[in-house]
Amino acid sequence: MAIFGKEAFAAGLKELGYQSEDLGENRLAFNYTIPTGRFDGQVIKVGIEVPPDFHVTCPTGPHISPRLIPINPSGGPHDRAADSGFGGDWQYLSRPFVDGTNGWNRTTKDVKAYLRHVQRVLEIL
Amino acid sequence: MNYSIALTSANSEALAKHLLRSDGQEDVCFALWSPGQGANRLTAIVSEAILPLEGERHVHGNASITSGYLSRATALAMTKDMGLAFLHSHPWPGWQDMSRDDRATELRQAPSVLAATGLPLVGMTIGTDRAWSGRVWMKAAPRKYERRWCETVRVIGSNGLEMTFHDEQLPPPAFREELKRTISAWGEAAQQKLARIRFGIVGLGSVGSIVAESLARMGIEHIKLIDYDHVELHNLDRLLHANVKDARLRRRKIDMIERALKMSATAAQPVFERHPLAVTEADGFGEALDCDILFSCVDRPWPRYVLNYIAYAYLIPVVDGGILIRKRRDLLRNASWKGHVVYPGKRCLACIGQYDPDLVNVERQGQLDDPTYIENLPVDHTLRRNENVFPFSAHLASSLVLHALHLSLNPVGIADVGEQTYHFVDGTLDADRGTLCYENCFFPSIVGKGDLVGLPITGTDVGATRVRASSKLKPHQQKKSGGASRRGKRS
Repeated sequence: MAIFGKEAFAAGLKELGYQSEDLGENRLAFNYTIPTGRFDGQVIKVGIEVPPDFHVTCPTGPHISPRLIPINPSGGPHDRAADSGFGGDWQYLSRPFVDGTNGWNRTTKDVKAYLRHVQRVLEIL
Repeated sequence: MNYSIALTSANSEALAKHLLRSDGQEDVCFALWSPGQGANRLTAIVSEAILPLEGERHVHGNASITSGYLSRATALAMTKDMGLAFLHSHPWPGWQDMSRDDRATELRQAPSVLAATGLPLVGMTIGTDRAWSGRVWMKAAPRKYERRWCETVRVIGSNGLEMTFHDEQLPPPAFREELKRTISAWGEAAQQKLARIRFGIVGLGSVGSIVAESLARMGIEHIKLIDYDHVELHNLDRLLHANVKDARLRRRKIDMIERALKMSATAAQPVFERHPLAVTEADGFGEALDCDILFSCVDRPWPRYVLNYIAYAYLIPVVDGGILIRKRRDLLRNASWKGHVVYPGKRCLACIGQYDPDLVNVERQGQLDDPTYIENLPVDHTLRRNENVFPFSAHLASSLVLHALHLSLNPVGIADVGEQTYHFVDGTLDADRGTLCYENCFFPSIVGKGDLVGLPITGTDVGATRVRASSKLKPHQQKKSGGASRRGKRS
């Protein structure tokens, strides 16, 4: 039987060279170096609420720590940030998945595809 | 517990090609099956044929197999974690009963197959008209196995939905005088098929309510209504049969619809099941699996995703549609609605664009029930579009029912009229036939795998939970939703 959910996501992160931390329930976190943009080079923690049926569906936006931008739940597509259930020093960046002009269904539906989205979200903060 | 069998037309043809011999003799083979466990029905989803190798079976008028063939087939089933079906042919048409030898053969196999695979032996027989009959051999007591006839065998694919019925388990209905004109349109045989199909309607809003009415008037015997929501004032311009009193009492939509269907039904002994559930919940999912055809009359991504999954994994065709209205400066600019059926071999709902997989988890997390989240979406986002008009819903509902009729009746050999889009402003109808899923689409990979896929697709539906909890409050304890507090009686 195929694996889904947090187990599949953790395995995908490991394949890409990331060490993930299990935060309980459906949550994972891993260290991530922002490659470009305003926060270029900064190492942050990225937290993911992994849906139980990942890879068929993708996670919603990433949670990040430390907070990089002000909390602004009514903000626009590039500055919206809300409190996070991961804890006080986290923030949730609600960003619908997009890969070029494609939604999740048209990608390879793996961790690599999702991390491309995370990179894009962080580089345009 | 009821039992049924399902298979794709491709698999049915492959099996028929082996079993229906040109010399008219019987033949045998094995096949693999996956379980599809619904709330009240176990469906054996038959897939890969295990054809006999040289010397594994002998044809002598009827046919027999060697122990080696049974062992090989059982081992293959164990490797794949699937069940084993034993199939043979009879040289006459229709639903097939079993001879004493047939029963003895399957009864002999049943214990070892169950012990090895953990799943009961399924037996199937095909007639010369390619009609299947089936049974499941259940363990009733130590060393005692009993045959449970399948009510139906359904085959889905290029000829639409072909079904064979066990007339004793599911008798052909007697028709009332009220159905005379309907029957004269397509004949008694077609009506007997239609009447016995188990239809499920997921979502009893503006479109679902009209679909339900259509089915009831057409003499459908068994309709399952799945919706957790209740009637509100803002539904009354579109929700068939709903009135102000229903809104004031926050009557459940399934109760309101059932009340009306009882008056409209033309079937001799109609059964309307009411399930205040979401198909995104395990219980609602189970109820949906008991159906032969599902209508997707929902407007959210998660239930559409679940229904899409059911269509491919469980071989239950899903008839789906949706309405999109665009305005510019408060003037109607465009109104279109799409209707289509999804099942293996056709493009799935995700690839058609009927739901956004990215929003499935937004919904799961309850954000679609959070007004703040919705308000912050762009004004033209699909989740903010809730404009609709009764005739638009009526037209779409009618289109969906027609899709189901094409699927079931295959009139003049046309079971599939494609994905249709009607454009209100210029009155044109587009049809897209033959487009398949994208290369990386998940759903073609799970065709007929049933419970074996193991995808954790259901969960706690925040919206359904909240609505059911609020329904337990008395009307005066509930937050008022606005609107006129006094108005004249509506019929």
